[in-house]
Amino acid sequence: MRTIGKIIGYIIWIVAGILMFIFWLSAWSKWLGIFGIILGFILTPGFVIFPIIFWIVEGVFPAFYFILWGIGIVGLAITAISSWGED
Amino acid sequence: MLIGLLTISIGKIFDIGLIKKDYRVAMAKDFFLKNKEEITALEKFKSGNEDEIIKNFSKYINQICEETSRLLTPKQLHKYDMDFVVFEDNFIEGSKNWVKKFKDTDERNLMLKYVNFCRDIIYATYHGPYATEGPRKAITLENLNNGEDNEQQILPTQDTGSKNFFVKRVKKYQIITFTFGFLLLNQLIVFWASYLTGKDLFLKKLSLNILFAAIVLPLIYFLQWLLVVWIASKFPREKLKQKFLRHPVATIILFVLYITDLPYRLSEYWGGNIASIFEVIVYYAFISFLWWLLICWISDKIFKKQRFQWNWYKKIIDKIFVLLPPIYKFILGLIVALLVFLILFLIITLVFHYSGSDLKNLFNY
Repeated sequence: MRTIGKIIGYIIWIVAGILMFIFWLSAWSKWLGIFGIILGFILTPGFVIFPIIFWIVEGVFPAFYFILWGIGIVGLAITAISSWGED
Repeated sequence: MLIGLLTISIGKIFDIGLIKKDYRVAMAKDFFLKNKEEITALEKFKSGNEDEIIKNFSKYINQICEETSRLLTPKQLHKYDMDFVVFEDNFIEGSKNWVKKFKDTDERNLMLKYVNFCRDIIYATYHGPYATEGPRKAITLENLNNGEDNEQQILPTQDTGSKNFFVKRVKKYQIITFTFGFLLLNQLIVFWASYLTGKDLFLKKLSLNILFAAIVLPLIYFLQWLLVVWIASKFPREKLKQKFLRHPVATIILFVLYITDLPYRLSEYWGGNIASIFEVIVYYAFISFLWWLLICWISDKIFKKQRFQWNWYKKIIDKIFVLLPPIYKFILGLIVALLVFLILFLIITLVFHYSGSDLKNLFNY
């Protein structure tokens, strides 16, 4: 049962992470084209400040990004709960 | 997250570990040469060549380190010490956890020998300064050979307090219960979604629909759960395996019939979502299993002795019994995860009145 809980948690976390990364790369590609995609890969650690940049550049709050982030955290929480008390 | 995932995958692909590869390979080779007969006697190493076996044993050291890094209460120099993996005390605990993962008793004993062998070399030379001071004791596992073969069999022995018939069965057959719980939830979601969107009115009156969803559907699933749990209790893993091995012809014929019939069943019954496809597959697998049991029973009555015995068939059955439980758990987990993901997304969207303006802006709709 713990295994299945961990599988569920990890998959939610990974899917949310991949979608966030696609969102991030799409934004960079829209702003700077191919160079933006390359930059997107290099600047991956900037994930945290990205929503602020997006908000300033596009003028729209990136709610989708935060929804995915929240879902990813739920996935991690499921994984953590499933791993509690393991030897 | 992606960097972390990439690092783990690249580490595994290129065989990178905490201990240098050359050193690991040398240890593995030394151990292999000293215990060649014992190693090659194991089923999994019977067909492999020498280099391949040494490579595997070298990778085992990485797995032990990985297991050590997962310790909940490791020995640390201070609260934020990230280098705790190198301590001998932690290595001992990590290797115990690693050895516990092996189900086969002979394999477990061999791996216990291997971790002791590695520990002696690593803490004599490679991680010498991190060795534990004082008298040395060999790594042992209490009740090493008394472990049951799978999770479903271990759990009931842990549960000593509960006397309730249902609670006991729920705890014993957790995966079966989880599967039925999930399928019931899916049916309820599909039922109400169809009803509320007006696509399909199962029963004309709302009160009858509520009655159906609240009583009839759960009752149907509960009865199915009871049946499956009863059959599962009659056929423990080893008994079932022996039955499969005794009836190769019936197994092959029923399996071919199941596979060829499945596309037709899917086209007929699937409800339009991935969970329904899963339900149809599992449902017809169970029906085929019941037919198979009946054929086996008749066959037992007619033929007193086993007529066919094929080595390739035995190997396939062995492999299936090893692979099927994790594959089933992964597929079920995947489907549940995707459904949970969609439900969470829908809830957040509705609660915060998300309009999708950021996406529209990003993709220029």
